[in-house]
Amino acid sequence: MSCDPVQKLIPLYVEGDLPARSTERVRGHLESCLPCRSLLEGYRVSQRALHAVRPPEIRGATLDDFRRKVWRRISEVRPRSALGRQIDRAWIALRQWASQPAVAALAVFAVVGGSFVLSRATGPGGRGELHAPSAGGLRGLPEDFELIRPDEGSEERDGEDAPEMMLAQASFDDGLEAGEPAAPESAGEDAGEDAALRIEIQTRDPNVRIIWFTPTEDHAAGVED
Amino acid sequence: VSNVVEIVRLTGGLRVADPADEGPSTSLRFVIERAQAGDAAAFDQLIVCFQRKVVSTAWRVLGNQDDALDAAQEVFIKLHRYLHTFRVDQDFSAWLYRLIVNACHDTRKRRPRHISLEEERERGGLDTLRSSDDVEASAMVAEDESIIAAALETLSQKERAALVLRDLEGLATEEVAKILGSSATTVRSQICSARAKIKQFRDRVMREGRRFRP
Repeated sequence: MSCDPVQKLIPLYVEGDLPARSTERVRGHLESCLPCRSLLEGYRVSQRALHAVRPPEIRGATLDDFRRKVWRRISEVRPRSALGRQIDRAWIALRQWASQPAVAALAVFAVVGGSFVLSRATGPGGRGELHAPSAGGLRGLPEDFELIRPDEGSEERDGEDAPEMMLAQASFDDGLEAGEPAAPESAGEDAGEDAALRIEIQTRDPNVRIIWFTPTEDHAAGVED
Repeated sequence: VSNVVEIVRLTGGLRVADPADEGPSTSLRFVIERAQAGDAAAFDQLIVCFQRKVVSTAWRVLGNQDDALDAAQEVFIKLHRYLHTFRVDQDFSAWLYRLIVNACHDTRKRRPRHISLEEERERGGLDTLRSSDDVEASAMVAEDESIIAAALETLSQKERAALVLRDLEGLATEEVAKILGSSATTVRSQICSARAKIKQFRDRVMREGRRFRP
């Protein structure tokens, strides 16, 4: 055993906090290593100084005053009702029961297994069907809101097994065409003029995103460029 | 009062029971059960029994008397509020230590200010050093205590709590882990780091070869 790992273990060795096997290995190294023995002696001195710190002696008057304050505080606190006390006891019992390793393992298994089953039933690529919402079914969106399927607006996705994906975005009369990729924020002045605000809503399904552009002042006033 | 004396004698003030022990001693169990039933005198006996130790432990964790008294008050308020949830076959001392550590944690969050040990002694909140004919020796002891107190301030909250419980309160690593709600491995790591920091701080002050002024 070299000096480096031994020196890392000496703070624990000095107070006997190491497991028996590690203790033997460190002891064996210390017998033949003067620098490590010197370090150990330094820790012994430091620990002696730490142990020599006396417990703070608190005056009797301080404690009497302390006790009075505690009772004053207790009298200010509304006592727990009988029902509340029963709930507390039941909650503690439940926590203790749930903290048993077997119960905890079962709970983890149930959560992981349940998540897996749910993901198989409803997730992308799963057996369950993915129902695309209709535009009419989305409330609170502007009238010119459209739902676009990728196979209508772009040709990027192919393959029969690919999960069905929905894109959604708002379009303006003279703005972006439905299905046209959204302009990046740093696309230039034109993009900034056409769309004062661009809202993208990612639904719970990672393949469905709602993109919403609000009209600029010019659009709102019906001014043509 | 005789009951209180008996409890203190049997429990050693605040002692974590040996693993072989089955919960608190008979006298303490009797007082706890009476307090759980709403007997104010019994709860007062618990305060008298444990207040010195609770304040002392909180002082070591927090580093100053005012915060320690505040935290100790919280401990007894919570003890009064939740004593009915304590099962007499549990380890009462470990339960109380857990309340202390949590109250200290809350107090430190509220008041991050620290008062040094020297300030503490000047304010007279704590008793003066033991009488000694050797003034120089007393001064050295006080200085060493000041160095350790300052070194403790360099530790993180978790390191300090682990070190206080293990090295100053003398609990086993497994007991400390149980009280802090972490694993023994984590506690060993915290203690290892804390001891190394204490030594490094003390070595640095000693190397500078001057009297320590916190």
